[in-house]
Amino acid sequence: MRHFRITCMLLPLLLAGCIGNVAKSSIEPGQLDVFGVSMNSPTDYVEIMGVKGTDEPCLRGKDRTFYSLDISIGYGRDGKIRKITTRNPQNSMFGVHPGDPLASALVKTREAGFVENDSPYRFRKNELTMKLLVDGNGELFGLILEAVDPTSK
Amino acid sequence: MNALKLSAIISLLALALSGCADKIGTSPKGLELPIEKAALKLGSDVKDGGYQVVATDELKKWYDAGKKMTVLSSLPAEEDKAFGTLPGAVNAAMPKTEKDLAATDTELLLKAAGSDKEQTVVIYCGFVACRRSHIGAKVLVDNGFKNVYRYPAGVAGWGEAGYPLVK
Repeated sequence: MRHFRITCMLLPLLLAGCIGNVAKSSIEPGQLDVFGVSMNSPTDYVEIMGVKGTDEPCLRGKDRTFYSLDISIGYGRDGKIRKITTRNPQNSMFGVHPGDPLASALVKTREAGFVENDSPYRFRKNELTMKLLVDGNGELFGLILEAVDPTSK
Repeated sequence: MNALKLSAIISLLALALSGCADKIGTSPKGLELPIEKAALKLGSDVKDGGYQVVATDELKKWYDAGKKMTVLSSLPAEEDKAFGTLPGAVNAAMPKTEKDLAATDTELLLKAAGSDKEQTVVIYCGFVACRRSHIGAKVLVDNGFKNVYRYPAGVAGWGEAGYPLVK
């Protein structure tokens, strides 16, 4: 009974560790250029480029938005970064910038090892998903990179 | 002397505990400021969105009465799997902000809502401060749906009320 309790306590921690490690290992150096923000980092970004973040609650932790930079960082309950959203053309993920032609963005996303997931413009690579935000005119205006909870497969 | 100390400690403890019990506010747990922030945003969103809202108890009555309605979860599908959904809910994930709304989000939402624009549609997300359901409700209203209800308390409120979440 005691072992069962310990296992139950440790399992979520182990799973949380899995998300972070796999997410981190799926990104090679230089593939993420969002003001130095990286997935699975425990850095508490209070301010980026002189812009203060605004926190909003979410089911798995909190989202911190830097409005004038057009970026948002999602923190998990463990304080590590599990989601990065950008609409800033200065940023890039796997060579894709917001504002890039959609056709070339799709090529770059696939070349980075992502494969189409369950909905249009949503891709998956190991425990990472990348969503290309495309408007009604077919313009790519943003990117969302997120670590997936392995229990939700 | 020891009895005096013990008496003093007990008195202080009683005062401290009675202080906890006297906490005032909308919720016995306090947290008045985030409640105020969420309430003000909800009020302005409802005014801006042109939809209606439904409270937990009322929505439960609708379920119990077998009211014909389409229930949509605007949470990401992964969150639906992790936290469960309201009975019969269909996933139609919405972004957290209007600026992140993609054309495919709108397409999937309208597909999930169906073709009957007179049908009652209830849309929810995580909790009162979550705005995914506002964004979805507004898209539905803008696309001609006549009976759109946002359920602000979402999965957190439904679960807190002790009502079943389906996994």
